Amino acid sequence: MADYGILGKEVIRKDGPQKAEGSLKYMGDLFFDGMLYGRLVLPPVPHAYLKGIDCQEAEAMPGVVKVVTAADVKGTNLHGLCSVDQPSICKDHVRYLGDFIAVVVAETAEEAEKAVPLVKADYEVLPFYLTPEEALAPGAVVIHEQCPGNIRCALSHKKGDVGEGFEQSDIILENTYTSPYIEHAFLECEAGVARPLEDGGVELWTPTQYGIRARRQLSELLGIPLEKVHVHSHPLGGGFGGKDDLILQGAICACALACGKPVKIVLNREESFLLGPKRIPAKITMKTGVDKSGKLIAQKVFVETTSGAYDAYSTAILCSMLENVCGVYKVPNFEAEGRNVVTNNAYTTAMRGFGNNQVNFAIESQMNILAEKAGISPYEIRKINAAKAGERTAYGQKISPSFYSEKALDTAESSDLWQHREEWKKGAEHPWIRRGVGMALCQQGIGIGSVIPVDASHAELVLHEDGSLTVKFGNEDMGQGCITTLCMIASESLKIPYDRIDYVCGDTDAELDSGPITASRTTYITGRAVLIAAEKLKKAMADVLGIRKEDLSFEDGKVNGYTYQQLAVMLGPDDCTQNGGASFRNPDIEIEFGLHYMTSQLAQVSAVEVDTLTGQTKVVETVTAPASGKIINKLGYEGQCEGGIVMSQGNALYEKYRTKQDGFPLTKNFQTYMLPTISEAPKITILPVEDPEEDGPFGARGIGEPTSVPGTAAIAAAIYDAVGIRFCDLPCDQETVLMAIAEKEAEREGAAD
Amino acid sequence: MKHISFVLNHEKVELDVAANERLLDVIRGRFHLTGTKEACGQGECGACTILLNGEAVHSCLMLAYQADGADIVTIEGLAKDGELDAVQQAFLEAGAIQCGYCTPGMIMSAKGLLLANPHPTADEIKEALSGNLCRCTGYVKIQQAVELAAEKGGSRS
Repeated sequence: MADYGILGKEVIRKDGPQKAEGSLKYMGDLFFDGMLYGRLVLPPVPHAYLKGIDCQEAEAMPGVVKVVTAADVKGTNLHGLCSVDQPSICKDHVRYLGDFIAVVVAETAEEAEKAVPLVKADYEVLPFYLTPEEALAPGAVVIHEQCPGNIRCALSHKKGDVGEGFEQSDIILENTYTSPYIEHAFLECEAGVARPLEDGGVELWTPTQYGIRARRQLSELLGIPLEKVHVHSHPLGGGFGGKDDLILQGAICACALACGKPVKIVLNREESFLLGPKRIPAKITMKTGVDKSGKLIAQKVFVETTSGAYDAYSTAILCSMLENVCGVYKVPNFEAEGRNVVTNNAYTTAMRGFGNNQVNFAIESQMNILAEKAGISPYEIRKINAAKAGERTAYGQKISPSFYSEKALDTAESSDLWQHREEWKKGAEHPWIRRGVGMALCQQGIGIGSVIPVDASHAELVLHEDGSLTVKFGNEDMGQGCITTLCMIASESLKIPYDRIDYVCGDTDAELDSGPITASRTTYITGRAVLIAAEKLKKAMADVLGIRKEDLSFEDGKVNGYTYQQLAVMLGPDDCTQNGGASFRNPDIEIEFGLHYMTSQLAQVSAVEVDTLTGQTKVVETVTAPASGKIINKLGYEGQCEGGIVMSQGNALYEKYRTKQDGFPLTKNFQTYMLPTISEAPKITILPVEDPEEDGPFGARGIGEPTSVPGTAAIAAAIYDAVGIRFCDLPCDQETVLMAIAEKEAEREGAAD
Repeated sequence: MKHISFVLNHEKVELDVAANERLLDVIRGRFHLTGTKEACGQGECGACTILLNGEAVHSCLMLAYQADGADIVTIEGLAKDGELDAVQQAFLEAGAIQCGYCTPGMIMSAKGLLLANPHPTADEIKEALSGNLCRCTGYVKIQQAVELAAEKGGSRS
């Protein structure tokens, strides 16, 4: 085992002190002289043509400077990640209730708010569709011209012969699993401030998960050359995928340019829920066949997703879902089909797990049920079907050598909670409290995968004359802790003390494209870029000392007897700055939509108590065994595990974004949209599988997403273990569980009569 | 308009406020003390928590004039002579901070608890912080941070 200085230790995050002091400025905290405030004018119906707009009365109100509309946006006015289909300010076709048609800009937010109802618009109201069933009905109005039949995209893939496979199967199981709209529910609502520049450009402060891409998009939609758009995209008060694409940024910039002054827009929670993208709802029909021993023979899957009003990442998520419909398992015969449907409901995008959460709930539930039918344990069925390093997935994608699904599974299985579960289950305090324990397993692609040609990252290191170091990269820190991780990697490599390292991140003026903060990619890929830059810096040090790089020795804060100050002077400014670039490898890709060579794997065991009188499920304990390579910052790693687990618990038990029949949300704020609180947080035991990633920075790869994936299936299995009822529709909330228990009781009484 | 005065982070302040002005907006908008956050505006998330006469309250649910004569401490007023309060230090050391948006409110709720109850039980911590939402941490390290703060003199005012 290598002897590490700082790696694997509990390190206080770089941005922690400012956050603890309350001194860190988020974008909504910024004030500029003469700053104006924008409030949105929202449509009254989810689907309509906008025929005309009259701003005169609103513009005559005290304090109002201008009502900004699509006519004020001088470029394409469009953005989007998979399709460029979403207007910054709605021009002529309202496709959902968040399609704001204008922004009232005034000297105060209150004055802007007062003028909003005075903006008069003429609508031709259209029929609207909140669900795929409605949008696919014959004769339905087409919501996007480029999506005939309201089908955004359809995908399919097959291998072997599923018909034959099912014939050979001894046990066949078919179920339909549903997952609802889920809010990202970051604590910081969408916000931003833009100010116009003298050269006709614009400077924007906004929380977004990829500032460099935001700049490209803004340049197009505003019709301003790229070099005149400046984006400060860090920090973020949470993101989880929901701040990956633009949302308000085009409108904020357009307002600043149209008014000639800084303009700030901050959404309130109700607006954030109404406008913001969500986790994609999915309906997954899965037919699975195994032989007597529980070995998988055939799997047929149909996945239907709700894109909602705009594409955002929804098409790519459907690809990711199909990639993951067989979980970590080898299946000789399979067929998968997917369909992504446009509706007039909220649009959908990336959320921690990128579609894997929904399909993992389906495949892992199938595995738990099939284990019982085959008379083997949930552990055994996974053990005999899990793919191994170097093998190929169900899709034929070659698996990286650093693949440890079995080891993660074995680790979870050997936990005290799993080993002593039968004993634990007997210890409930009251007869109406039933205890159960469930298990699930997952893999999660690291990096964007083969869906894009190159997934790359760049970083820069600058050694200063005072011996300190600056680590520069494009990636923003949305809480995941990449600043700390990347500074630790630099510290470990160059032996410069962590507290002598500073950072620059999330600023397009630094001109460093590190790619998006998405797909659990930053630790691995920007970490590698930092390491490569560090190796170049070491080479430069060796050259200036006239020795070979391998003869460098780092001792007592010195390099071959020279202090870092001395070395910085000897190197000179040019050689003190070194760049690194790295990209993901995805060898042996056989099909056209995105697959991953590298994944992290994770097994989870959850223990619950179900109160059969109230239907309430309490998660008492969770064990997680993540295989995501070497730990860089122990505190950050554990924080990702705990955060992901509790987020998936919300997904399993409480959370569902609901709308009324008119399309307006029923779940408008945290009173009605239930997030887990500290009272619901279980005891969490983390059992890391630290086998190194073959070419990861110090053996590390991503941990952020997989932690949130297997929770729903593990909890649903635990509820079954407690009360004998299988739930295929999320969430398993109190009312659902209580009604199911009552139904089961009624059936039993009926049978007794 | 009503003329009011109160102590804000150990200094007396005076100002005119409108009858419908929220205390949160005065703190953020007039004094630019932006450590106090708004995340729901209806007392559900706790991001706007401050200490009012030593008690943790939601500043989004209070009108500014109700603060007349009160002693208010926001997150910016917790550190003394450049040294973090024991609760702030415990949040750092325990790794209880991720995106940081809930952190000021979380710390103020914890401080309010420890001022009233220097050695809370695990359940008392849960109860005191159950009105503060966090989407990042899963709360485990927040619980540990409050326990650590209690050990390290977090109850000192």
